[in-house]
Amino acid sequence: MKLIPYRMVKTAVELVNVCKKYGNFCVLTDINLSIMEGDFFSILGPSGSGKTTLLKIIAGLLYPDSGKVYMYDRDCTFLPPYKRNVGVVFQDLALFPHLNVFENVAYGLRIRKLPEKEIKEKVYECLYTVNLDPEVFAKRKISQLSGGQQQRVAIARALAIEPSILLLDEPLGSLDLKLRQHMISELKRIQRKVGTTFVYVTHDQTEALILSDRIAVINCGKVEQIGTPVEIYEKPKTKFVAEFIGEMNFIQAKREGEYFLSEIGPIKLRDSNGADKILLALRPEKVVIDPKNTRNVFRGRVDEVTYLGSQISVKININGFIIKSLQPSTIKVREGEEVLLGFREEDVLTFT
Amino acid sequence: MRFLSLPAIAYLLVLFYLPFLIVIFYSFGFPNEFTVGNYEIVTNPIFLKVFLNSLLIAALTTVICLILAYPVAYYIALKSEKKNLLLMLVILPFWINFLLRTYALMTILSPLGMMFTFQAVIIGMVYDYLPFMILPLYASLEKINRSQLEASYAFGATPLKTFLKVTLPLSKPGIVAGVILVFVPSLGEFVVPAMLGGTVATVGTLTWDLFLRYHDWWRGSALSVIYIAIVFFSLYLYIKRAGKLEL
Repeated sequence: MKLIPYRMVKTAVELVNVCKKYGNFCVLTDINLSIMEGDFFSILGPSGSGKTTLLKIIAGLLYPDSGKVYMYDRDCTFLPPYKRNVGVVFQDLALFPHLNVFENVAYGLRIRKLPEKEIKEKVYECLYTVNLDPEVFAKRKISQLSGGQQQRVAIARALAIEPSILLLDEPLGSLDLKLRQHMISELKRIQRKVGTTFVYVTHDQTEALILSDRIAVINCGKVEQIGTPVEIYEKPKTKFVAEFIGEMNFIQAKREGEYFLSEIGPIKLRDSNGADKILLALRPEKVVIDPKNTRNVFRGRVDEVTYLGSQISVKININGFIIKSLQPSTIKVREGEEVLLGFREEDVLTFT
Repeated sequence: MRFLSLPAIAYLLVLFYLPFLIVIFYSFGFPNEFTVGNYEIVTNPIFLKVFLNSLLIAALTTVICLILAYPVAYYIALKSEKKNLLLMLVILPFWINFLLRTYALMTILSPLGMMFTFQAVIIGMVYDYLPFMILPLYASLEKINRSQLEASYAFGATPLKTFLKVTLPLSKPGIVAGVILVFVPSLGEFVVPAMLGGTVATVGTLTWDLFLRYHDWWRGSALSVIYIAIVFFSLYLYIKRAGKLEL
């Protein structure tokens, strides 16, 4: 839990009804979101969902067709990027190949015409922040660095200008898994240290869940949901969010008296907001094998057991319908075995 | 695979390096005598005048080409949606014979009363060499990533500063290549000055005259050797300097 000092939390970025079209194609439709100062805010969505466009609009590299962009309550909709004091870490890093590490990091400072001594101090500080030893790396060419080191230089360059907002566009996309995991914890450490508002664009739900204070899930240019990682995962508002984040069992159901008839049998639910046809969603880890309660119990056959170390993934076949289930590996089930499974009513999400 | 390069090497050897060797022999009086007297041509004030004239024409041509070509290359590489079409239009003049193009230019220049002037030579040279500047500039500008320019804007640089601090330095290899490709051939150019320049003398027209008008193969050879030596030496200096040059 983050301690908020006794002061008003400011809104660093606010987007109001932002729309962007490329030709006749709507890339962004009525985007409304606000990002609090000091937040690690993620924009999460599949590729082509418009998230990079959204980031460029915040940076001022694109202007919206309609709607407003506010930064600290100031209308910045058509403010050019070089007047925004926004740091950007680009997807392809976009380091300057003709400059060495020091000059890359110093770029924004030289533009601001800071005195040489201050520039050196700031560059060294930023290189230390991203764990690059300036004595070793300052003079290196960009082409002499590994992918992870280039990543760090790109972050240092963006931090150096002390941006009011730091925008990151899938910065870990090009790294291998191990380096990626390492950089995730590094990003979190850096953000804690500098306290700058981070806006992080990604298609990777794991990164978003680990890193963010709040997440905006976007799809086809529309905001599906904004919330904390817990809210997004536990209480997805739309079917898209439920499906996009984590694993999910979806079960079609139709009202029949006080029951819902479904592909796995009749299900009894307390509230279902009156709709006749609904879609039930159930996380695999919420599926209970050999449940204690007697409501909503189903009999199925174990089709497949996959050992994942601390957990096992079990596929259970109920009348031809496959339910995915995640269990602690202390539970012993064998393929072909008949099991009873159930779930708590409050764990079932319903979509109409 | 090395043997596949042999035909080209043999070709160059027999048709370039060997004849060049013969030119060197001739410059020392071959086959009649051995003398360095032919090289006294350098001390002739006319030679110096002609050489400076060539240098001026080549330098002007190069600078004008660079100024004209950069915006074109910049536009095609970074702004245009129809790169291939525009590149095609740049290359298109190559499909028409060089001589023919120069003749065509005569029909434009003569009604304007500009034939046989210094300006006519410059106009003709720029016209002929412009694509050689545009293409290498395009090649280097085309490699610049849009996001590198965006990064520069985001870090506070105005479009003008971005051009001076990112675009221009990154296009340096193209500028270096373009300058060589235009300057070197225009220094030795003789067709354009001969056809459009009238009395405008260059190293090219002087060599031509020595060989084919006065049949003085020995002085002509000496002049060629001097010319080639100067070109090599200045190229060496230029490339060495250009590598370090900070734009």
